[in-house]
Amino acid sequence: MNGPGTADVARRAPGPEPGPAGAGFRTCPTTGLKVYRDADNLIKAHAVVATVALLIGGVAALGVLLTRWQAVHLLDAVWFYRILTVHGMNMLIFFIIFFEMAVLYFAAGPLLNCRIAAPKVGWGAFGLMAVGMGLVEWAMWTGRADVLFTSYVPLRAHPNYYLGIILFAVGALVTVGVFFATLVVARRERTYEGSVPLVTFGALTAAIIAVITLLHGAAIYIPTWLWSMGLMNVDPEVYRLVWWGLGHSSQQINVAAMVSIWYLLGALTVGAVVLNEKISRTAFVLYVLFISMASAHWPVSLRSKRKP
Amino acid sequence: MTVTTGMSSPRGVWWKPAHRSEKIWFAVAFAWCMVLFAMMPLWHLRGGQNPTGIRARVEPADFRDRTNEFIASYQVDEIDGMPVVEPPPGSDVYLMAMMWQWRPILRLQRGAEYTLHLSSVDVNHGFNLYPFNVNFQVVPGYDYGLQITPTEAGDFRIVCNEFCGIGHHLMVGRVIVVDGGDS
Repeated sequence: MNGPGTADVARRAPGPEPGPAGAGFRTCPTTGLKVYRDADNLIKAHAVVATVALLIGGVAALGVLLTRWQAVHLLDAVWFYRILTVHGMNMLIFFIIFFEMAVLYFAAGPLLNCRIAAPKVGWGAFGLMAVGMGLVEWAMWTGRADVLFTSYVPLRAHPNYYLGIILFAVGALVTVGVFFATLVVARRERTYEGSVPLVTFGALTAAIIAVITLLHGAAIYIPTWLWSMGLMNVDPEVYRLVWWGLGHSSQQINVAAMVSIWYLLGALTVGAVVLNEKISRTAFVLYVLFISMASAHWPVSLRSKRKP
Repeated sequence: MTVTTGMSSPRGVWWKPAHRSEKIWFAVAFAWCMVLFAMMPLWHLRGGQNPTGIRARVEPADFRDRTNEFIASYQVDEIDGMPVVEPPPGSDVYLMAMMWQWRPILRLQRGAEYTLHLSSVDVNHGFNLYPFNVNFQVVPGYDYGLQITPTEAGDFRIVCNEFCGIGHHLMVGRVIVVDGGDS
């Protein structure tokens, strides 16, 4: 097959190649999708920052690898733990969540032929996320947050480390809100007929899990931020329990978003059709309903042990 | 309804019977889910995986006092400045985690039962008895009391398996298990 043309991509393809000047959108030459300028820029900005985070996390991974490889043993203990913290935060938080935000804008905008609901709010949220990431990177690289990804209390980092994560989480939460609002706008303005595409549906499940994740993040990092400034106490056991509401489910946003992207890539590369919408959508719904419950194995398995 | 890719909106009613192959796939996945689901409680209750320890709050300073009293009562030796303590069978044993040591060195008798109290006086630590697969969280503010019976004689190491700062990898403790008659 040459090109990504499929029955239904082709159905959209005819139409003006570039969008009319000043109309605020262009037509994607590959997919035929109508891409509004705000959506275009927001998707690119989030995806680019995500890729930068991936690069930083990847370089850190090399540092970890070349240190654990005893023959090389690149870094001393201080830089090993520092780079391990950098690796965790960039890969598991900044890379995946920034990229997921790009996916959300794509799924609600171009896939539904819709404009972004509140682009200025979207940019504000992007700014919060970027500033948050900047603060965390600063704290980590300057040795003010050698606490690893989990940062278990009472191991203490600089207050700006926690503040950065809070800003990032708030920004992401607002972005998810813009995504939901865009779905409403698309519905109201009838930019599509029938049900939302499967990829959008999957992205919606990722967005729901993202809300759960980010609320857990806020619930634990706000008290921890105050604790780091000596303003309140945080119980180490409570921290562990609530923190994993973020730690686990941040990876679960990723799973839902990733499966959506598989469907997208299937469509784009080989024109794969959905075998059965009912099965695929039911699976997404079951994932949202039950994955948090599956994560609850954690408090049980935590103290796993076998008698000697 | 025509076939659609994941990128396009399905129109009309898409709630249609699944193909046989998808039904089989769904059934296999569901069955496997149930197996995993059953394993969680089974592993907990039947697998001997999670002992029910005594868990109580304790002020780190109090735990330090108890450990020091325990050391003063039963100390028998010293290795590199670290007290070696041999408590009588059946007694309460205190092991204090701190950056970056396990205090004291324990000498226990094989086959005897002890109540091992674990706690930390600074940050979180992890108790990992090497080379066995025995792991416990050691959390400041909580006394984790465990009924233990050493089943093998030898000189074992306790490795910290929770990141606790820059000396984490140097935090190695010792448990020496001797045969009952030797001591």
